[in-house]
Amino acid sequence: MNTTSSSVKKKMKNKIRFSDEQIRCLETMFDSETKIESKKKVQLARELGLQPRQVAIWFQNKRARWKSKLLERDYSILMDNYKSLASRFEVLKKEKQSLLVQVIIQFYSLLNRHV
Amino acid sequence: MKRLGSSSSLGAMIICPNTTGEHNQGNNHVYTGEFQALLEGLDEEGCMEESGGHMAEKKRRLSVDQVKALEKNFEVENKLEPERKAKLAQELGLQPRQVAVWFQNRRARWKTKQLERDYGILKANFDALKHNYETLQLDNETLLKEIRELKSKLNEDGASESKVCVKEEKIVSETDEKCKAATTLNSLTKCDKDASDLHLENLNGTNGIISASVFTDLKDGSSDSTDSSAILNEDNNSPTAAISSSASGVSPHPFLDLQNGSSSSMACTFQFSDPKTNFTRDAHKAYQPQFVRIEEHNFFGDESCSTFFSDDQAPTLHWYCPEDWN
Repeated sequence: MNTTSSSVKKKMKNKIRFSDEQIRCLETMFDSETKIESKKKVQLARELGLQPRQVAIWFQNKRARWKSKLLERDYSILMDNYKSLASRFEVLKKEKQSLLVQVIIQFYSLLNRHV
Repeated sequence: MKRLGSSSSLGAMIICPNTTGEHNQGNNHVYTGEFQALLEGLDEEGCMEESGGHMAEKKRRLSVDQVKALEKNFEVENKLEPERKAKLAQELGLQPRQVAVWFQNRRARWKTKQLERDYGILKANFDALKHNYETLQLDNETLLKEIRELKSKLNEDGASESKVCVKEEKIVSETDEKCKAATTLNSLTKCDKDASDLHLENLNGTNGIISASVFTDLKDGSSDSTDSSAILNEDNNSPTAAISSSASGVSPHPFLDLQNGSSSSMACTFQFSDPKTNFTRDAHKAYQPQFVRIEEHNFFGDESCSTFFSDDQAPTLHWYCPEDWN
């Protein structure tokens, strides 16, 4: 699993990856609430054999990653909506052109009556 | 226990080092004084490794100068190749790996920021487009209404044309109608805003390219503007007759007024469905001239429409209509 590195100096060999089981539990907790309270955190940490701080930081990073994903998704949706609106706009524009033509024809027809 | 920036909150953490043996073994925690500095050394977003397991002294925050230099370098080129990396590392007294990691993280942060920025732009453009769309809808409704009114007027006319006095009345009432139509036309023939009016900054990544292509399509709906089928100017060069071309140099469209200074070149071509009324530049020569001399800028001036029907004043609009126009 990818971990976000910090700008702080560090040696990679000391990094510890959480086990799949640990991550699964963390993800489950995250799904119900993105922010974890102190008590639950301590409890969870105990259950998973981690430091409370580790749990806290995991949640912190997870929120950042989750926010990014959300933004990506929202952007894509908005782009789709934009494109569809733009094409509908174009249709409407052509419609207006033809209506203008009709108005002018009618107008001239009317004027012609009394020429 | 969020952004641990203050030493006071850290103090509590450091109180009981090595209380539980298994923690030490498993995660290699060494709660030394340097750990405090370590914990303070969270990056701007407060992200830290998930594991948290590392030798404290290995993790130290970069100095302000180091960060400044890195940022400056990043601005020039956000990807690093080996020579640059080695050079930078040497200059700043860092490990090459540190420089590499810093750039990696920095790119990730930049990507997020860029996405946020792009989203903001897209949202603004979307809202503007939506507004323009709604305006356009209203315009079309107005036009539709106008058409109906004119049509009904036309039908009325047919019934009572023979009666002179009634005819005069009709003229008077029609004058109003026509002036109304004229002003409607006047306002509605002003150039539509279209999607290309929106100042789309260059969006990052492929999305920018997609957007750009969408807008070039919208900007110029016709490549065949030269054979505009419309009621034509007799003489495009005549100063009185010419419709001012749009700023972008689209050939004059006599039918739809393209105001000077309008930034968007709305392609105003339209096909008459009835082949009989297909007026092309070439066709008009064979066909009976049906030219509308249109005064500059305004299809129907607000004031000038009143001159349409007066005998004394020469109307500003001249036209010649063959019978089969109707």
